Amino acid sequence: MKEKYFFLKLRVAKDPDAFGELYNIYVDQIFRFIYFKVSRKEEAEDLTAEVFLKTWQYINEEKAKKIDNLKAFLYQTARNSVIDFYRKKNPTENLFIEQKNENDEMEENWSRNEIVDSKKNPLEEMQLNSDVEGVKKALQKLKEEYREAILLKFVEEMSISEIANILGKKKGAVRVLLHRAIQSLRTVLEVNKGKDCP
Amino acid sequence: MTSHKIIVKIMTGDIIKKLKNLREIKPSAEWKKSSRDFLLTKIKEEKYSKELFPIQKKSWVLGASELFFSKEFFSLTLKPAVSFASIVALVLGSGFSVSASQMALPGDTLYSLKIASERVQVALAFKEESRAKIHVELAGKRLNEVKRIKENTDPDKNQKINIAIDKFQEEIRTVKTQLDNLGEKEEGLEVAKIVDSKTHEYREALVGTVSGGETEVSEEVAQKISDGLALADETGDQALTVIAEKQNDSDSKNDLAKRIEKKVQTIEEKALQVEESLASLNTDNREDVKTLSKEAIKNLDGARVVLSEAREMLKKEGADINEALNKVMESKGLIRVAEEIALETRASGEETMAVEPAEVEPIAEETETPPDIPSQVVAPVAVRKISQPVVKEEPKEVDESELRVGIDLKQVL
Repeated sequence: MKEKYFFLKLRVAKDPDAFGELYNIYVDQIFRFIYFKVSRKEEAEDLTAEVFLKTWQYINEEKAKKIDNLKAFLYQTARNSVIDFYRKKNPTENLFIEQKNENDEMEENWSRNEIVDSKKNPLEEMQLNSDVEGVKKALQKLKEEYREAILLKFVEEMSISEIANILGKKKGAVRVLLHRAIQSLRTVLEVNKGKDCP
Repeated sequence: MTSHKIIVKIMTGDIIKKLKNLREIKPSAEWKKSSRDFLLTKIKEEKYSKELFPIQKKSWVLGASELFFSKEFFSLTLKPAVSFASIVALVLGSGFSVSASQMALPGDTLYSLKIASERVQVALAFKEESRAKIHVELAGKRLNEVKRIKENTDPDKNQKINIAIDKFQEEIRTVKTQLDNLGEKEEGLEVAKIVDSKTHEYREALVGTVSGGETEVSEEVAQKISDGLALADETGDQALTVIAEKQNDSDSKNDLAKRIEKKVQTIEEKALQVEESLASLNTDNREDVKTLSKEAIKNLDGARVVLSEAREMLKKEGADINEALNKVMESKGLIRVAEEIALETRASGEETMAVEPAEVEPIAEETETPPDIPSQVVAPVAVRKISQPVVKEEPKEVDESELRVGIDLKQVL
């Protein structure tokens, strides 16, 4: 509800402070979405900042089409920014997740201690650490679109219509995608479990 | 249902629980703050510099050269008959074709000639303020065209109104830029006064187009008109600000007070309209609509308070008129927010009413179990886990598709 109000204020008055409030509301999820695509904290941060700046600039363009759904717009901008980022960097590197072996992953800056902003006690945190790590590793092995769908549905807890809006797919297609994604994730987790305890 | 399926089912619940833990992944608080500060500084800077340095003014030479390279000019040269007429018209300054074209409407053959002759008129005006005055008149002409098109029984009516309103907006934008340029000069005051009075006329004409007459305009046209209204309104505000900056004696003060009073009246009318539209919203079973319309009413009340303060100020001897004007603008902003909320809420209300009746209770999904899974064996916790947060946060989003995900998952397992 709050976001709707700030969004209207932004749209009507182009109010920078309303945009600031919307930044507070969405920054975490947009960061997460990008982080799961680029895997490096610094890059995810830079891209997140870029997404918000681009969005503001779009809103202020006189001839721009009116944005109806800011959240979907932010996600779409994030997707495009990541694509541009890889295109600029190295055209082949965007396949890195599927191709990397585990050693490479270790070298990647996936160190969660920098990222997880937890205020739990050490024991809980350890448990959380291993849980988050396990699922995160498994997610890395999934196809990009599966990972996206799972993230939006189960981490961000969005409705099917919201996800359809963001991914630019029909609701039916999103349901199918989710169904396959969760199946795939389960398979990966089972394989991982097998590896951990032979 | 095999025991394997049950194990898998429980596992999926577990996975989903673990997935939720990924929400713990966040950017650091320091980064969030510093990035927000940077963003806000940057966007405020951009906004401020845009206001300070608007689009560069056009010289009349440029205006004239634009005419000869314009689409209208080329389209004229491609039509020999009209082109001949235009040459005659351009050479003689006034000719039969030009005077005949003055009644032309968008879509008519002579309309291009009409527009071209207007451009000549603008290009020949030497001073910026004369050009501004011409553009103000032309904007009025466009609205006149809109009115005449609407009275016609033309099947392409909407399309033609669209063209005229587009051109109206072009004129108004030019006037706006010219007001900016003239703002500091003495002549700016005179133009601003004309613009202020004219924008009220524009407003009435535009409102009349939407509400008056027997035939209704298309949704697209209605949207265009409302954009045009907003633009005219903005220009009117700008003119009023210019007048306020230039008032120097008691006469001009009185004149300004009268103008502000007129503005206050239109704002009050607007507030009334928004209030009516809010009152007609159906808030039954819709917590979100209720909250939003409360928010809108709060804005509206705030606007009224500010407006009455402005009125009080205007009545006082030696009042600070600029302060009163600020208050008027503030209340206007509040009303616009309220209006947007009303519109948005109505749209979303109608949408959800059409797609899914509000009666869909979340309970339905908890009792719904797929036929092949005996209810006592299914771990109901897992089912609820999937859909509960959605239900809690966005009751209107609970639609068939949500329920199906729950079921889909069960069937997978």
